[in-house]
Amino acid sequence: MKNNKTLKFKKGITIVEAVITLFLIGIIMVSAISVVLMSIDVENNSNVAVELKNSAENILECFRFAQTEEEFETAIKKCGNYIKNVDGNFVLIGDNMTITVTTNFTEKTLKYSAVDSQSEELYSFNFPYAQVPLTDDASQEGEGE
Amino acid sequence: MKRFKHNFKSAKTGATLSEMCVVIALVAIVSVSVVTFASLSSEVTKISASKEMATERVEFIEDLIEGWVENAIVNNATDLKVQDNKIVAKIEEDDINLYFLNGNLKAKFSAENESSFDCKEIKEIRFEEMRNEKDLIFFCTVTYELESANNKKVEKTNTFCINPRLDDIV
Repeated sequence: MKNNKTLKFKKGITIVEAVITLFLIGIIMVSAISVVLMSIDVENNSNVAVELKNSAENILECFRFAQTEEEFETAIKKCGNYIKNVDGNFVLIGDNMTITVTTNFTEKTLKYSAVDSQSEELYSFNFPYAQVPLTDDASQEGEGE
Repeated sequence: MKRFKHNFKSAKTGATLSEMCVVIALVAIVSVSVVTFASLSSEVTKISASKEMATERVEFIEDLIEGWVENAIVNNATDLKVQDNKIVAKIEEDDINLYFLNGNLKAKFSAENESSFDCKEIKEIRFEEMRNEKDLIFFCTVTYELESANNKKVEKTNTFCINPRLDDIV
């Protein structure tokens, strides 16, 4: 009976073991929270990508429709709060990005550029799209067909 | 090394006060982390599900409107325009239209073919048009609500353009 009692008393965990266990749980929780935060970040990025795609499509549709710069300005102002700046470019300042559209209605060209809050380029394109010359391999394949 | 025993009543063999404080502090930190993780992950899931549903619904509406306009052009519709927040046209003598009413997008493709699509998540759809000598463009502004942090709802709008071109369709 006495021996059993002694054994029962010796079953406790040391403070070092307890601290290590809690630290490990803490590390796991911190990792889990960082995964959640990372997923929030990924989702924000995907939202930005969707917004960019939508705005680029709208800009192109308006550009293909418009005959003059005035028409283009009226049309894109229906798609968002675009402002014409002193350089004659159309600028949209969003929550996480700034879109700049440069048009030339004489040559019927358009340049679209989107940058994030740190002025890093997110997406850009020129319209009409640049023609990529065929490489020798590609042209030979075409001839073969 | 002192033992951290189950019998806390034993002052001689139990943990010291400072050891207990360390353990309690760590337990508190871990508990807070668990609660934060649980609430954060449920919030993130809720918000992303709401965004996904809204995005899908807006894409569906865009496709439906494009389909309606294409159908109108393919069937040689005339008088295609926006009137009283409806896109309307005429196929021969029949009026066709597309409009949003009480959470439903109603589309009349022809005299016989009329459909109603449930869009409860959408609050409003506003149609506008712009035309010049050569072309016509429709602007559709969709307003919907998204779940936000702390059970709040934020209103969002999404505008898309539809440029009905016969060349692109035929």
